[in-house]
Amino acid sequence: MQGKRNLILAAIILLISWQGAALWLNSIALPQPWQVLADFVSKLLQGKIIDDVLISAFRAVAGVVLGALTAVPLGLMIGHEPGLRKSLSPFVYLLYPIPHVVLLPLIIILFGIGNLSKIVLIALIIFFQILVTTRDAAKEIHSNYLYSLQTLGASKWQLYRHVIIPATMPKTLTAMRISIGTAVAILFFVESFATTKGLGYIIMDSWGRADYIALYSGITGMALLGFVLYLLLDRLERSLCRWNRL
Amino acid sequence: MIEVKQVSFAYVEQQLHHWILQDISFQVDRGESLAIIGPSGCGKTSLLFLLAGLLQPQQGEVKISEQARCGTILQNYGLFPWKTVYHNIALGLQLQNIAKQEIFTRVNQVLEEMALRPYADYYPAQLSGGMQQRVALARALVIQPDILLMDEPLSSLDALTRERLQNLLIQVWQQKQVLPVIVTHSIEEAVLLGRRVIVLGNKPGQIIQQLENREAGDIEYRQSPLFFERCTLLRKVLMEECHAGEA
Repeated sequence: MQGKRNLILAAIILLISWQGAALWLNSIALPQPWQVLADFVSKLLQGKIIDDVLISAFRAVAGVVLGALTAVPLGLMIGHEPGLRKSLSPFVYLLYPIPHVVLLPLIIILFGIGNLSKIVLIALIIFFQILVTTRDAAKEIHSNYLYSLQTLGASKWQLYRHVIIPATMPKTLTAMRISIGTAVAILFFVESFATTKGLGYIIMDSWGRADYIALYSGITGMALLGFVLYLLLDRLERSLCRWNRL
Repeated sequence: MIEVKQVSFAYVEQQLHHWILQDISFQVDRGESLAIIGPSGCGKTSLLFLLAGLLQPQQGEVKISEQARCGTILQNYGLFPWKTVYHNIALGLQLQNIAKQEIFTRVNQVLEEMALRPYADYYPAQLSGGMQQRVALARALVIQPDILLMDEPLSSLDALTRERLQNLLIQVWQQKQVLPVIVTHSIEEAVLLGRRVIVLGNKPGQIIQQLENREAGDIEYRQSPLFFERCTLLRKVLMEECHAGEA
């Protein structure tokens, strides 16, 4: 209840600040929030923006899922197996800081200009965020948990299933929540080429036409999309990691 | 049941051996109990880990009777915060691929014995230290062990809870025919629970005293003059060891 009240309060403060800034700047580059909201709601009611929201949501979620499915197992293994950590950590350090968006031409050659290349680029960018977090989480597991299970005769897979995966779950989900934010932000970039659908496309297209109300409608859609995905992950964390909130 | 023969153990770091235990030998059989005591850092936990098979000695050998099952309670109980009391206890049986119905029966039986049934769906963080310790004991007992290895199992408990759990341990030891091996830094606990008490010296850990203590396991023993006499003897040995270490 307290959380909901704080959320509404934060939204009101943001809207008031936006309104104040729009009045103060008095520029077409920053329309007033009621104009944007009216535009967004009318497009929503006319069904004009729903396709864009859905395709953007699909690209962001698919990117995060693909990134997590590859980064989490690898991160856990690097964190838990010292030999693997020694040999793979230099690669992580060298590849992590690269601005991965520059690989776009290569990704287009490999995966075409459709949805797949957009999803792969999102996955590639968030891959390292999730990899580093899960690796560190697996490395920090207290050895007593592992020893406890080993004395019960656990196999390697059972160690992962009963200790490593659940122990790192809260941090993995936190990394995924951060990734959702990153993924939505990258939509702006990946939907700027070879597509006429998606919130990123709406933003780029409106920008080109200097239709700033439509541009901010796109931004509002992105913010709402990020917010809903964030809430869903929060809900997932509550049900999977109930023990962590006691 | 347990035979340790001239065991030496070192942690190896960058090809350097840091000797933790040196030339340790002892033997304990079914019906007995063993308490291991010594100053901090003398290798008590390493010795327990060697018995549990979690570490391997560089020299000598650790022999445990074939077929003997070991239940283990590690420091801070080793309970998994992400599993409920029921699932913490059931885990050892799950790993042995025992049928679900049998797991259910055995876990409920041990929950009953440890007076934990109302807490089956609680997570460890929702329990007091004493109750967590009972869960750890239940988890070790549910696999019906022949040997119960415990690393300072009662160290973080208040005096009264500690005494209650010491009595519970004695009960378990006598009713279940299990061989308890307890690592402790409490002299009174070692004398109360160990029919054989091994005192380890410091750096590297060596046995500096072995005490035969046949009266251990009798709850009345803690009130007897002999109990105090043996505690005083062990205290003296440990103090001398500490002074020698400081010198």
